[in-house]
Amino acid sequence: MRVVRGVGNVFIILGLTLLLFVVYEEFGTSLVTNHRQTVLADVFDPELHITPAPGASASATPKPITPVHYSGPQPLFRLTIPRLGHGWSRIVVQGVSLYSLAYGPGHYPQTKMPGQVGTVGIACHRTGWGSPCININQMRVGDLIYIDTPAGRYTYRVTSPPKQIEKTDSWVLNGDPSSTDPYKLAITTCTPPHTSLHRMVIWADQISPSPGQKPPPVPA
Amino acid sequence: MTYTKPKRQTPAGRHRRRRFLPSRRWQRIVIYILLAIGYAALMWYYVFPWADRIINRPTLTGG
Repeated sequence: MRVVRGVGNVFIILGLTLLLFVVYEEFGTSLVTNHRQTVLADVFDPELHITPAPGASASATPKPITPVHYSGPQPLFRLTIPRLGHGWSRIVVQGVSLYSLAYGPGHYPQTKMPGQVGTVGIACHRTGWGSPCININQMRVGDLIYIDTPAGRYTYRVTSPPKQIEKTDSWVLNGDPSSTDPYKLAITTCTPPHTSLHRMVIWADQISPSPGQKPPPVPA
Repeated sequence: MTYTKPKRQTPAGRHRRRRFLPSRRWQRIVIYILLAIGYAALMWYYVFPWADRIINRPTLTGG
């Protein structure tokens, strides 16, 4: 009888541990990443030189930039995808190690930067760590994606529906093979949600600025 | 005539039981709570991050 009770207690503890792990994955990691994104915004947004909205008072006192202590991966640009939710915007950091992705979406270091000929590759978590790409399967052809850099805003248009791939399909970082646009974007994440069984990719082509032109400033 | 409660004798030899937890109920409850908090902290800060690294990888191999 004591053995049965002991085994039962072990199963109860294991069950509670699994429940705690779900809480950790869904909420605990997101608390960390959301806080880091707030710090990243304080560090990076002043570099974007955001232009005031039309009609805004030009004589308004500019917000003083307070130095923020930050020692994480380098912030590169702000990624905005309206389809993923109202106000969906994340700061992308350099690197796709799990350390970097704990700060937000990460830029594949071997891919190009916005404005360079080639593909901009971005990886982002679908579960946990803010779950930035949880709704990426809702992306549709024609959806717009914005990348704001200190040089200006780059606009991309999705060229194909979300595509399931395998984790070894690194060729997807060359961009949509059916597109002839030299400026491309590829975003990878996990699928199905809450697992890492497969990967999913979104491809987009740059539609603004035109090749050789300077990007427009980042709107407020 | 008064009743005197007989003293409970400790079993000798191999039948002797050692008590690991305090006899008072509230002391046992405090120890259970502390053990639960310590176990949860160990899981949260050491085991779960390790498990997350295994099951939560959105990147491409070689990417």
